[in-house]
Amino acid sequence: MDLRRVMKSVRAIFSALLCSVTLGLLTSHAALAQGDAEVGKTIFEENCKACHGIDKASVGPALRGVKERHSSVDWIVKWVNDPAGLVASGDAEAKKTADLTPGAMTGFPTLSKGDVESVLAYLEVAPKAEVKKAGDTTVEVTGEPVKQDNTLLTVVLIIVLVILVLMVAVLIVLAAAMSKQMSEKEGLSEEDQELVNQKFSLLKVVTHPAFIGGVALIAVWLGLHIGIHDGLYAIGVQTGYQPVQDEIHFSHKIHAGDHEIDCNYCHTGVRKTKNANIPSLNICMNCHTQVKTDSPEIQKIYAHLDYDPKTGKYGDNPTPIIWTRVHNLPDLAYFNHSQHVKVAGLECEECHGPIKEMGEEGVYQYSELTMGWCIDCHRSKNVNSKGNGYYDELAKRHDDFKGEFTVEEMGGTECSKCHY
Amino acid sequence: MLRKYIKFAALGLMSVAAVSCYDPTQKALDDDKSGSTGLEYAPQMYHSVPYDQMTQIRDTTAGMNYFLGTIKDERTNDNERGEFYNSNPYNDFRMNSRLPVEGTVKRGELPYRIEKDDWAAADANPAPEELIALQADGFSVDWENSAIDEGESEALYQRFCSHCHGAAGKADGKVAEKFPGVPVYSSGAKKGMTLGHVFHTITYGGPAGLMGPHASQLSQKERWMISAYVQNLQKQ
Repeated sequence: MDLRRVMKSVRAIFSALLCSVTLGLLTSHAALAQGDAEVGKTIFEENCKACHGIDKASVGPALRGVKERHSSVDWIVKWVNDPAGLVASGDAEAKKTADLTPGAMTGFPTLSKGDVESVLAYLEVAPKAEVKKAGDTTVEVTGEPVKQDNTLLTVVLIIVLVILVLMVAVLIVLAAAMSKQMSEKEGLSEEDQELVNQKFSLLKVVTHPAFIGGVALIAVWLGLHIGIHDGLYAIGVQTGYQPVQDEIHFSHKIHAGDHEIDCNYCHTGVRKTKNANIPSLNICMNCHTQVKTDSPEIQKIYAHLDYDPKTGKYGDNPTPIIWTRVHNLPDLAYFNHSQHVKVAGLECEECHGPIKEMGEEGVYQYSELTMGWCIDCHRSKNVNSKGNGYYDELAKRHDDFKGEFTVEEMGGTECSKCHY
Repeated sequence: MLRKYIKFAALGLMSVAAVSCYDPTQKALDDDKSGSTGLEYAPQMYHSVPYDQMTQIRDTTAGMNYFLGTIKDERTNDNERGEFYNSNPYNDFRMNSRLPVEGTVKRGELPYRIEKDDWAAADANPAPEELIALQADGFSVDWENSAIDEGESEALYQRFCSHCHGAAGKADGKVAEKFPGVPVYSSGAKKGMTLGHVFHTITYGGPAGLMGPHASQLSQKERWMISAYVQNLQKQ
């Protein structure tokens, strides 16, 4: 037991030592290099990181060891300041470097020799694969809190249930003990005697007309309620409708949730027109010329666009993607997205629910989209009249009479607002 | 006898109470998500009679009335189609919406005539005077004297650009972790971009061929507003 503890502390001391030694080595190494690595890091992140990884080739080649790959630091400075000019001057090394990647590098004329040396110093001490960490941790965190809430609730429910069962058991034991004690007692009155000697008969209870009547009543009630009330209520209400998309299993969770792309970026019409719009494929291609180009789902987009990811050229035989519509508002009701999103300033989630958590399984209809659901909101929500000149006069006149300026007060529950 | 009836009534009341705790609206939300739209009260009033740009019912038998016989489709003079069939047989892929004819000029704005590769002309392209006033240095925006609102321009930037370029133009948006080559606006190479250069980039995509064209998502005015806000970020 003691030996184990000693081993543990030895191991801890050893690893601490190892850490400090490596840290010390790193810092001394940095101090030896020309230029300041800290300054270099800032310059690298502001100017170079966009196109160059440290260990991973991106738009431009990976930069670790770049100092050794070229003839001199002076040449690198010249290249960074004006790559196009250096190629034009007929420099052989510049031509070779320019041919490494298809795109031409942008010149950074503002970077001095000292700046470039700092970046080179930073590249020597930069930790390996630091970029990967940031992406991985963020994904894991998002799913957790919901799960924890659920388990807590179940645990509480189970505890309550156990306590209730225990209480019933204790009460039964108590009742049995008491009646036993009573029966042993002498000189009971006739009424008490009857109570003590009473035998519990299940058959008697079950055959009692009150019991039969009660059960029958409950059965009829439940039957009517589920069969007629719920059955009728479900007609025309498509809450929870979640069709499987035939072609592409697009995940809102990845796009709007994990990557925080605004809904409006793809649903371009939501602030301008009646429809939020299904995005056209050129919007997908704003990112997917570069991102996840090997994914089978993205390949489907390429196939529809007749796009060749190798050459980056579009063919002349594009075909449309057929999506299955999720929210089917009846044709008899008029709804306009821009009025609700731009004018009223509602968030998408107020009607569409947790859209940022809906993954590859597809979007489901969160709200009822019934008339009662619309009207409820029109009765309780105030008009967003602030900073909107259109409502100035209405809001002013309204203030003279009553406090609340709801949508209903403005005629928001008139039939012809939505049905015409 | 009376006691019996009281018992009966009590049981009945209890059953009513038990059932009324059960709320059908809540039930509908808790229900397992389904792949079916369920029944409809008045299907003839639910489905669009004209071609609807956002729906396309390709099933020719949809809404066919088997009891009364088929309903004549006035559009195609075809008796074999159901009432809800809503696809335009004369368009490519039977789509209900079509692209505008090539060369169509959008209402409310004049065409932007600078060619995609003409970056020199784009760089020198001044902002529309009635929209944006520039300060003495030639590329900072004079928000006080411009017709566009700084707050609105920022909101547009945050909606359409920030997921790559970052909330403050530092290329730290969530998408930039996956998308290579997102520049920092205040970096040496990008600090001096003119308003016209930014506008041209948003319209046609970036000079390096990485950023895509955003002209289909934003009107010209919105593109100028975002460009003006990017000029703010270049100085940060």
